[in-house]
Amino acid sequence: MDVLVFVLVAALAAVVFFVPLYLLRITPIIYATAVVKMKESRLIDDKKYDELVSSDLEDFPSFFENTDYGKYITEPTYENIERGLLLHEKDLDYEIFDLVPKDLSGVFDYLIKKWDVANLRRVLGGLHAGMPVEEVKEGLVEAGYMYDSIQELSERDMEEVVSALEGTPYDIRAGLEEYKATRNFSFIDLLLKKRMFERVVEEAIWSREKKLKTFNDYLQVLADSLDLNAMLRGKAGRVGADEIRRFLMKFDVDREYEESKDVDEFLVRLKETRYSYLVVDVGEGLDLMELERKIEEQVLRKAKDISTAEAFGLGPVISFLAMKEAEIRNIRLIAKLKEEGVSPEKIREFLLIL
Amino acid sequence: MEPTMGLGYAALGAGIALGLAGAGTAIGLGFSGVAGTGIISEDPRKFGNVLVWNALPQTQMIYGFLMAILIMLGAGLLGGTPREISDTDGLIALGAGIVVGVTGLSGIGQGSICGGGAIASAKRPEVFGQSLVLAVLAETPAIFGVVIAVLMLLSIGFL
Repeated sequence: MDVLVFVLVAALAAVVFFVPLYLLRITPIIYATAVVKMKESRLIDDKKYDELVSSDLEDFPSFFENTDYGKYITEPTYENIERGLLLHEKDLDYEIFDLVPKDLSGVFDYLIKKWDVANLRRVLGGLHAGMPVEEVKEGLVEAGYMYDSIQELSERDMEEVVSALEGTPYDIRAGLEEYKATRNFSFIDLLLKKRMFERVVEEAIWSREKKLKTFNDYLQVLADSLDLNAMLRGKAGRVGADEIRRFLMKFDVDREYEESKDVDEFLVRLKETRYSYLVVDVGEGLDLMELERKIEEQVLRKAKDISTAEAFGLGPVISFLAMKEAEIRNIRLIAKLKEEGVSPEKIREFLLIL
Repeated sequence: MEPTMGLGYAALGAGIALGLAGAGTAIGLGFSGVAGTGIISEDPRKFGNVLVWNALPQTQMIYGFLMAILIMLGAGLLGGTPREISDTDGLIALGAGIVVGVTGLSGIGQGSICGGGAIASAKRPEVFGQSLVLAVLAETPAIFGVVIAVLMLLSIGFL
């Protein structure tokens, strides 16, 4: 009988001590899931997009008044809307960074680092376009880890900026060489994205957290889409395989790249490679912008799949971030095309909606 | 009357019934409560909805509490005069407590479903009913547990 009592007490103790330990481990992710799902419920739906696309730029502030964008979009100008979207995205990134469990913050640090890249792009893009320093500075977003130093860099020329970045994670000397030869800013843009992405992948691989399985799967999709866009741009610009290699994270379709005479042929050959899932909907004769949108659509679809496969976890967070990014891209595009007087029907075609 | 081992077993049964079922409820509430706070942080108007989802895993603890009271009443532990209980009856009462306690751990699973249901219905109010049905289904082991425990107590004249 004493044994029976002992077994009962031991079983009770096991439940009382071990189950809460498990609970403590997953509590932060349940909270994060609940918060992002609520945010997700406020994403703009198809009907609202129709309304927005049919409205005038003057109606934008009132359209967004009672939404998450309300305090950011206050004037009916493209400049105000674009700036508001940037600030909203920045605040959201910081909020999500604070929301994810602390043991994963090393990986989700990319939400902060991405603002260093955005600010660097702003400075380098401004130099490329010959924008006045003050205008470039005004466009910077006070975020990231290098905001102050990037502000100082905005007063220098392109070569000085690139050499100042030597020894930092954003060493883009290879991009400058190509840029000088072609005056094509894409080379700098691609290399900056690659540099940021390499660090995220590195962090995710080093962190052996089981929870990161979903994140790693999604990273692979993002890396593939980034490389694919770079390859397509390279193919369209007749950039050789050896040159484009420097801008890619992985180049395992070099034969297909070299042997294809144009973008269409390259796409057909990609359908036989591991990139097939990204080009499944792509037909012939699309321009680069349409191609990129189709690829983004596949990335978004993958993000959504990840979310449904994992009720509590990083899946919903990743999926929300992808959907939010698409929404911000859509609003920015609508505002830009509205300003240019493009018809609602045409605008609808450019939107990224699943 | 000298306390017997049978009385001790019955008392242990009462403790286990409430202890384990209470642990099930508490842990289950950990899931639904955390999900609830996340929802309220984004939209405080959803409090009513969240409250329903947090009430469901409480039932396991109520069953445990009820069973503990029934065992204690049957054993005379409430009201001052403990009964003389044989080892066999005591063990049956202990069994009744265990079955309610262990099936009360279904509160953990139910809490998890309630957490998901709270999130799902906060995002899409139209799925409230369906999610609620799924959460209520998780109650089944606890209900069967109470039925069996009551039958066990009836068999030894505790009720």
